Amino acid sequence: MDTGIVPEKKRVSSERRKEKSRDAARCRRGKESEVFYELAQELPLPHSVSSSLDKASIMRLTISYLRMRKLLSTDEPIAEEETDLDFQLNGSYLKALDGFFMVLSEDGDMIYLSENINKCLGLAQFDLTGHSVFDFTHPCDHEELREMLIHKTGSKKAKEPNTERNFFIRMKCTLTSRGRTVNVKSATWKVLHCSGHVRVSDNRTEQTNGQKEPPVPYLVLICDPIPHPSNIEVPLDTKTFLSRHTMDMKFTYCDERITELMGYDPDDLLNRSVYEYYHAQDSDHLTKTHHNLFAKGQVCTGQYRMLAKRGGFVWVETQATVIYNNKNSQPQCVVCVNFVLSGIQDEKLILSLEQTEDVKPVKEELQLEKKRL
Amino acid sequence: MDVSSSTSRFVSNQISSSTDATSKNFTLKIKGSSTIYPRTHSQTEKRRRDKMNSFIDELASLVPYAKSRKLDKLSVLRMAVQHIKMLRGSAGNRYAEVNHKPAFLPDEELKHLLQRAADGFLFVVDCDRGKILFVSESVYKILNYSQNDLIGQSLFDYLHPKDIGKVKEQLSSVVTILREKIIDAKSGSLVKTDGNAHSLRLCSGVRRSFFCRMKCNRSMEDEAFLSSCLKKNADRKGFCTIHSTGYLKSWSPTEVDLDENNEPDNEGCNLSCLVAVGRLHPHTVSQPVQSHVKVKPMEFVSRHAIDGKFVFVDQRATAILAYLPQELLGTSFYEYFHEDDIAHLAECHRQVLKMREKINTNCYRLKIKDGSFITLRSRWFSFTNPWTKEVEYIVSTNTVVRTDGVTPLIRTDMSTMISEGQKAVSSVASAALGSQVDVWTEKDRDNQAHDYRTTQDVTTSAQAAEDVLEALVAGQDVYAESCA
Repeated sequence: MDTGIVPEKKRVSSERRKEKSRDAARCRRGKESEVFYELAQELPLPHSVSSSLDKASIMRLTISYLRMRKLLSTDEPIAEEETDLDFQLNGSYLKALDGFFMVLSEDGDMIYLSENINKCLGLAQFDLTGHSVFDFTHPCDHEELREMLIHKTGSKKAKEPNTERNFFIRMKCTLTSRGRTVNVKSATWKVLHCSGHVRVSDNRTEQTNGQKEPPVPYLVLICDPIPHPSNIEVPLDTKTFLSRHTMDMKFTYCDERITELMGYDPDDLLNRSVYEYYHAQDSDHLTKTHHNLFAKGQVCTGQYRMLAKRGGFVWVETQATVIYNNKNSQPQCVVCVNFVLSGIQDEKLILSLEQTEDVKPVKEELQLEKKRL
Repeated sequence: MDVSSSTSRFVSNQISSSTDATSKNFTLKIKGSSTIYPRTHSQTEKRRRDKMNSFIDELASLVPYAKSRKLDKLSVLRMAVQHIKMLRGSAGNRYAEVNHKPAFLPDEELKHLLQRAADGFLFVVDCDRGKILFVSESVYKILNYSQNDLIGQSLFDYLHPKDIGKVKEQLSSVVTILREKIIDAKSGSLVKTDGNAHSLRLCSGVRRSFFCRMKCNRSMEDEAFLSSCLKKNADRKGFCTIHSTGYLKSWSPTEVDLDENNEPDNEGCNLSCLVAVGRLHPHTVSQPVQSHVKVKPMEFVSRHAIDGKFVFVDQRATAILAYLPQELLGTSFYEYFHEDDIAHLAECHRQVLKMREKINTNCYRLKIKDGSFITLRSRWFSFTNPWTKEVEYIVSTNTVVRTDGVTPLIRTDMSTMISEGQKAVSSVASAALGSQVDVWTEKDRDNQAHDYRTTQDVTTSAQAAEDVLEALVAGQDVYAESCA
């Protein structure tokens, strides 16, 4: 715009134009605000939430809501009839879970988060809905997360791709160990065990041009926290034992409960590496689990076999946590909560060298057998 | 409160990405992030406008009428309002909001989505008697029992007998088993408590989380049942491990659907119940699906110390090699290698320790119990401690190779008892061991017709093994010490 001397007429008309455009803009903004307000009101949100939303938030919540509806609208009609009890208990599913529920779109947007996310991470449901999961997870876990989101469509082999997903990520947590909430700027990382499936919404609604919409993949996950051993809220039954290890996984302590469960005296294990007690067919999986443990700080092993003292093995599931030194933040030890899932299987089966210590020498056994025959 | 602005501030803070899960202040580096922190107001404004525009575009793609038309911002927003009104108010909306309470996702829909994420079911049991007061329909997919089969029954009738005690412990509202030791978060040391106040606090909370084995209904066709059992990691008797999480709740008898025989002493009393979701744990160790035809084991896994000594053999080894585990354990694999194969295997041994990659051996001959040889091929990899990065042991997956004329020494009736890759059928292994005697005393005459060395000087092979070891330790090239 020229700022030089302008004839008066032109100046007046340009000023009027500017004024008109300002008025038009103000009017537009006013209308816009009105519509945004309306939109916020239409969303099924508690009033306390909808009344304090800014425009960007209204947009992300609206988009998430519509994406969820699209995802659900094409499902099999639910034919079952609900009893009163059924109905009453519908809300109990979420309450019974230790963690929260999350639906991720293909590009990683958190299009749905259950409200109990606040009990797990301190963050509020509607503060996060619509944001990208990558904004709230540890950068070192992003690559893994991206891989989880990929849905390979059926190949020529017509083999069903595996839709199961089971992985660990670190998410921002604003809860302190005392249950207070801190600002998101001071958030810590919390390890979450995510398990679920990649699903595809079989979109039957047609576009206006008569073509079918492409199927939309999404990831439904249940995200469970792993209790820190110093803060276990649930009672541990007699089929559970605690153990502590140095970082190379040698036992430094084991709860005496292991004796009735597996036969070992805790002293037998001191300074022995836990890897000696894993069934060889599970060692591959457990190695990967331990890599995860050292990278992220916590892990849950899934079911594996641990050798019993005199023969055979038990099925175990372990929650392992790295304990860090408070002063220098260096990893100090690993504490394991071990859930023994079965009794000793195949008690007579010798699998490892350690188990032979109690066994009679072979010659003797052979003689006994010959006598039997 | 919109978190996006505080998020960008968070991102721009300087923090180090450590593995520290418990530190409060940490720095964060977004790798490869191209976010340029806005420096001027106009740049912030531009970003905001761009963001809003992309939101509008996305919204337009979700609103039917707005989709294929180029509408202005205001119109898109107006269409969106109409669309949502329609979605919420439509007759097709089966999930009428309870008490007009707005739900971003109604409970019923949430329940269905949850079932897509995990194989699980909701159950309610009375803590005193273990009676199943409710179980959701989804239990059918997991345990193959219908709701009607289970409601009103005792939970204990559907548990593995050895887990009944454990579940009883979990159902009691004041758990008497007190943990004597708790972990001190700061030092990682285990602090012994006097078993009072602190432990009681831990135990009398309302939440529960435990594992137990539940029965699967075996009425299905045996084959289909067995394969589904394997998928669920159930054992032969048909139990699957369920992880239950939930809470204790006090319910008055009127709320709960009790049967007509309402015991007199329950009247007016609140029932303490456990409301929990039971989830089938996903498979962690993949296993081959059991084939219909029982197959002789052709593969076994063994673990060796760095020097080659057997420290672990799985139960299939005995079926294939005829040695008892205790005969193998503690001995070196060099004692069993055919003379002519030692050089190659020693080189593989050296490689697997050095390279830390998986090594496939060529076919080689291994001496079995009766002195004859079978041909195997093995895959070796050295297991390194994830922390120290030192090799702890070598894991060997050994596969029998069927070459012409060499039949594996396995009796047919044994083979019907042993199924390949079956990790859950444990009782079979003991039966297999029991029939070992037959195998040893009965020589397979067919094998004797072949040209192989039936006798091998044990001392020679032991010496060979020692030589190889020395070479390995000295880091020398094993070929120079060839035992040929």
